[in-house]
Amino acid sequence: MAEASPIQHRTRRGVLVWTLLAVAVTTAIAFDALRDRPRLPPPETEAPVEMPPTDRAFVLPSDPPDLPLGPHREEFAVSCTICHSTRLVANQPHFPQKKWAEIVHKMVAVYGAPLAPDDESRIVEYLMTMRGRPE
Amino acid sequence: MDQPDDRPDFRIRLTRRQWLRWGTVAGIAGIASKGCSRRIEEAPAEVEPYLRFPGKVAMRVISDRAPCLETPWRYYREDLTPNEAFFVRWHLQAIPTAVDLRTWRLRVGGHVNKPLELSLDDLKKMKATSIVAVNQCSGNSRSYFEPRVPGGQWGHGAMGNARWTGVPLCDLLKRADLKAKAKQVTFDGLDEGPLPSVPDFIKALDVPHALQPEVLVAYEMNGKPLPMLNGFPVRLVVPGYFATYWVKALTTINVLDLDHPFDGFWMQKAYLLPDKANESPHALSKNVAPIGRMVVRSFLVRPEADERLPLGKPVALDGIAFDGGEGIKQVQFSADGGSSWSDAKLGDDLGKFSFRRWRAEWTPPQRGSYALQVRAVNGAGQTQPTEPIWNRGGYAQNVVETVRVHVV
Ligand code: HEC
Repeated sequence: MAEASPIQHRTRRGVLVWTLLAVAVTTAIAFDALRDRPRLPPPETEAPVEMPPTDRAFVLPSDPPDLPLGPHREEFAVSCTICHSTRLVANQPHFPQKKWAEIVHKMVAVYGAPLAPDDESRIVEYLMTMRGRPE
Repeated sequence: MDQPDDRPDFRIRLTRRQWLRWGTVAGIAGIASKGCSRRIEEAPAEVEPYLRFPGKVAMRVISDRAPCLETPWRYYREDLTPNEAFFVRWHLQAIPTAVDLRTWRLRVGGHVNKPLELSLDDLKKMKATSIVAVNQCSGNSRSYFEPRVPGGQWGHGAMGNARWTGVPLCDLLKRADLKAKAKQVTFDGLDEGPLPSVPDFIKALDVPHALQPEVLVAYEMNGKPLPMLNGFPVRLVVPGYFATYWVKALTTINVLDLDHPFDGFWMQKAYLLPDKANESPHALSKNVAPIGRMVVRSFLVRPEADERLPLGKPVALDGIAFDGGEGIKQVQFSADGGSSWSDAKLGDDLGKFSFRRWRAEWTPPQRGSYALQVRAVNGAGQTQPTEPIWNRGGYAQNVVETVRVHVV
C-alpha cells in the first residue's frame, strides 16, 4: 500500500478540524437557543388536540423549577408550595429585600399562610438567594 | 405535588445540565462567543417552560398550580382564538377537573322572588345568544412593567377572542324576578382556596350592568363546549370588561340588596386601579377603584419581533386591535419609531367587542433595524399612550407597542 501523501494527511486533518468545528458551532448554537429564549413549543403542538372527557378528573401536569441551594430552602419549599406552585414564585422578577418581605407578609396577613414567626425573615433570606437584587 | 425534588423533573434537568456542560466545553474550546460563556455563569433567567395541559396545545406556564397558561403568539393570526390555545388563568389551587352534569346546577338566589336551580339542559332550552368578544386578563403584559411588579408574569398572551354562546344573564335575572332593592349581583365558581383562610374567588357587577344584553352565561366557546380549563360547563361573559369578571365554572349567582354591598376580597382588595391613570412606586395613589372596562390596544402579529425581512420587497403586516366595546375605528402603523404614521386597512367587523384585524403593506427602503409601531383609535376617539402607564398591580397596560425587525 502506498503511503498517504502529506497532502492527503493535511486533507484528513482538515476534515477532522472542520468536523469538530461544525459540531462545536452547532452545539453552541443549540445551547444558545436553549439558554437565550423561552423554549418554543415543539412543532407537533399544531397536531389536533383532544378534549379530555369532562366527567372524569384529569391530572394537571407540572414542571417545577430547580430551587437553588441556599439557607432556608427547606422552609421555603414547605411553606410556599401549599397554595400555589413554586413556578409562580420562580417566575417573579428579581426584587429587593423590602419587596420580598412585603410579598411574604402579604401571604401571611392576607391569605393566611401558616408560617412560624421566624420563618418570614428566613424565607425572605432564601428568596433573596433565589430572586433577589440589591435595593 | 409540586415538590422541588420531584423525580421525573430531576431527570429533565439533568439533560439540560448536560447541555450546559457541552456548552461549557464549546466555550473552553474558544468557539463559543464571549457572550455565550458569560451566560453560563449567570443565574438562570426567569424560567419559561412550555407544557401541554389536558385539551391544550403546549403553552407557556406562568404558574402550574393554579394553572396560568399563555397563548402562543402565532394563534393571534386567526380572528377567533382556538379553544385549545386560549389562555388560562385560575387564582385558586383547587380547580374543577371534572364536572358531573347529572348533579351540576346553576343557582340564582339572594334578593329575588323566584330562586332558580337550573341544569345545563335547562339552560340550553332557554333562548341562546352568541357574541364575539375579547377576553383579556387585567394583568396581560405585566412582565413589561418597569419597575417590575409582583403577580403573574404574563407576556402579551393573556388575551383571546372567541364566539361565546349562552343565555343572556338578564333573561335569568328576569326569570328569577329581582326584588325592588336589588343592587349588585355576585358570581362564584367551583374553584376553591387550598386553605379556608384564602378568600373564595367571587366577583360582583352592579345590577344595571348585569342587565345589559351582552352579558352572557356561556356554555359554548367557538361552537364547542368550554374546555375544562376555560370554565366548563358555563362561565360568565362580560364583553368589554377585563377577564377578572368572567367567572369560570360558574355555579352561584347571588343578588344583593342595597343594605349589603359586596365586600369580597377579589373586589375590594385585589384588581384595583388608581383613580389617576398613572401612579409611581414612590407616589402610590390613595384612591383606588375596582378595574372595569378594557382600554384600547393594538398589536402587530406579523412580522414577529426580531424577524429578518428581505430588502426591497413589500412586507405584509397584520395584527389585531380591540377596546372596551366602542369598536375600533382606525389603526395606523409607523415604521420609523413613531415619526410618521399611515393608515392600515381594517378587516372583517365581527362586532364591537371583538378583535378587529388590520393589515398593511410596507416596503423597507434600506437595510437596518426598524421599530414598527401600531396604534388604534376607538369609536369614542380614545387611543393609546406613547409612554407606558404604571400601576402597582400591573394592570390595564395599553402603551403603543414597538416590534423590532431587521431588514437584510
Ligand atoms: C395560604 C395560601 C398561600 C400560601 C401558604 C402562600 N401563598 Fe403566595 N399566594 C397565595 C394566593 C391566593 C395568591 C394569589 C394568586 C392569584 O392571584 O392567582 C398568591 C400569590 C403569590 C405571588 C404572586 C404575587 C401576588 O401577590 O399575587 C407570590 C410571589 C407568592 N404568592 C409568593 C409566596 C411565597 C414566597 C410564599 C411562602 C412564604 C407563599 N406565596 C405562600 C396564597 C398563598
